[in-house]
Amino acid sequence: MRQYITRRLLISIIVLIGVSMMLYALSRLIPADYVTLTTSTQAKITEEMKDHLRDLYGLNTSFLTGYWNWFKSAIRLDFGVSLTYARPVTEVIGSCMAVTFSIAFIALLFEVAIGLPLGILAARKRNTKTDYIITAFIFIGISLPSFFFAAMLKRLFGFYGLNLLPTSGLLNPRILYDGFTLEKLKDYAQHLIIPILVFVLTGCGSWLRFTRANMIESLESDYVRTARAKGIPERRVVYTHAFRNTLIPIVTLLGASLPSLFSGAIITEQLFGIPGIGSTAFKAYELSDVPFLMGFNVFLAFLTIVGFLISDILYAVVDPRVRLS
Amino acid sequence: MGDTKRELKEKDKQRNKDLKKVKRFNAKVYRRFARKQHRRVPESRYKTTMKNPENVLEIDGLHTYFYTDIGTVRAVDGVTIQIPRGKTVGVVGESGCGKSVTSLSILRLLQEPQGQIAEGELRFNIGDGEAIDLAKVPPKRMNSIRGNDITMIFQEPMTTLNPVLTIGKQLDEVVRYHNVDKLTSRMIKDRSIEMLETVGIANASGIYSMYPHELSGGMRQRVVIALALLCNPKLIIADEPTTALDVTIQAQILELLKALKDKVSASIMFITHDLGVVAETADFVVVMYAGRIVEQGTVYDIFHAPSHPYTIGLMKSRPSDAIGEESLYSIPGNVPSPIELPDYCYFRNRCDMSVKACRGKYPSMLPLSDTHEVACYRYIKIGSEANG
Repeated sequence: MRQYITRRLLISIIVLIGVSMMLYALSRLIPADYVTLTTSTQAKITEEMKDHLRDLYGLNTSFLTGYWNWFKSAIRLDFGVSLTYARPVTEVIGSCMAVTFSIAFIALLFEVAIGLPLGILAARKRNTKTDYIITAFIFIGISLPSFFFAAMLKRLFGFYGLNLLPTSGLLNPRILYDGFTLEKLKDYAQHLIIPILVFVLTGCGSWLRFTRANMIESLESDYVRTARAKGIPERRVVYTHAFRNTLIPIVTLLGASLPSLFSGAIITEQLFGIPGIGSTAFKAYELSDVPFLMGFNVFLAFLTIVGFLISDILYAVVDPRVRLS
Repeated sequence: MGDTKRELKEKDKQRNKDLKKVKRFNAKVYRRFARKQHRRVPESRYKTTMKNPENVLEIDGLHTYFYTDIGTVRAVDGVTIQIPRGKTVGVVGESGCGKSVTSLSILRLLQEPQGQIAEGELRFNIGDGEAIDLAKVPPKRMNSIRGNDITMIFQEPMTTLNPVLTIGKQLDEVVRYHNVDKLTSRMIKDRSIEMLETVGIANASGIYSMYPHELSGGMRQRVVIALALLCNPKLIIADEPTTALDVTIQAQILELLKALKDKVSASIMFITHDLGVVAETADFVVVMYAGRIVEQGTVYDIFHAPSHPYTIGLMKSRPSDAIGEESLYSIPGNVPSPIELPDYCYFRNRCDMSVKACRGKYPSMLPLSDTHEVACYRYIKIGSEANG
């Protein structure tokens, strides 16, 4: 097991270097660079001044030297200074990560907590009214875009509707500068209800569908028939015999969803005015902020690799047939 | 051209209409089934008495239907079998003749509500001269019989054990949930290990904590047999227990089953398509064809005086009879589609001995001797003589 993990980690490093190279190439291939984009409306700035700026920002180098410079500092975990935000990249990412992660994590917990039991229920009551109703609702959730739900919920709970919940931002400005109080926590919670609801509505469908499909397969398998023939309670047949086997593919999905906890949601964050990583990264993309894009994307690539590693390890935990070597 | 096109369209329309009719009918059947499912059944409704108290199980006129989208499949259509105490009854027939569905009906493991017992009684002897009808027993009571009084050995040892649970866990839970003797978990474990030893597994305590994938096919089938024996069942249904195994292992498993039968004094319903296996293990033989019994009798009756043309065909197509011959005998034609079977002998079209009387409706069972019965018009004369 340990040998397997070390080998996987070594391979991961090579993959990460390859990925970062490609990411750098893509960031540099964007036709307009940061200097062109930020100075395009100012006629007073001459070409010489632009060249000078490019020198300063390290955008005048060739692809290879540029990458080498980035790589040299990156292995010392120094990802440079974001051009858009004029702060170190790690600091920018760090400052908005907490918000993004907590929203995504809470939403994921709800998605799994709703998706799995309903999926099991739908599989057990396959082709009955219960199943059809669950599946229909889930398809609505999957098919309609997040901005539709965002708009509907804002209208329903917001100022023009029931006026129960705030519809944008993270905090009421009045308590922004308070210390950590219960009041503040409650305000955070109130602001996050609708965004999390949107995530759950659009996200739990895939968990449900996945669970339902796999559960149907296990419920029809020979070992479930054997379990029934043993005369053990139906509860145990479903949750121990069938669900333990459904868990195997679900674990893979869980590991693979690790990067999505940090990648943020551009549209939803914009709609609710949440200063998360999604909207932050979006602005950096617009201005082709190479250091930020590199830092952020390599971070996501790292998480993806870690996610797969985690799901491989979990795979061996839930499936005794898998031996990692 | 235009004409044929219109004709095709008409045909299509007719077919769609028929399919819709089937769907409506099925929906009605499912609804009725669901209603029955929720009703509480008083004990008096399923309590009966055995016709012969020496029998463990009496299957009486069992009809099991599958309500599919293209019509009702009569998988088992009026099967009557008696399983005496301590004896082995072999059920023989080719694939799709309803052998396995019969066994699943006894344990009520059909895929409901598509598959249902439409008619018939399954009288199971619970001792003291009392019997219960398994076809009417409420699910909870049924669950206490499954794995306890009636157990099953399945066909495919590679897939019948749960891959993510240890052998020990899968054995223990049977005793734990039917805990008649109020055993502690320590005793349950000992019992499981003891049972593994009984079915001829060396290093039983090591196997106890292993997973199914660590065992060979023959070993797994031994584990499945151990599962079936844990609660001292009265009846063991073995559904082609040796089909998926290679020949040497097959012989070992058969040997084991024979040895165990004497030890545990249970009756065995042995389902197989292998006549050799039947000859070796069974006391009585039932030959099934297209969901019905065509012939039944003692092993001696069936092997020395096979009477139904189908049984005769089966005997002829055994490989052991064909040594030196160029090709194996095979019965011409196929099993008829089980949807909307006609009311005449289902074997008529494949039969090379058919007589004029075969055009009539489906023949009923005719006694040839006290133990031997056959459903064939060729014996109608003998039958009436025997009766009169």
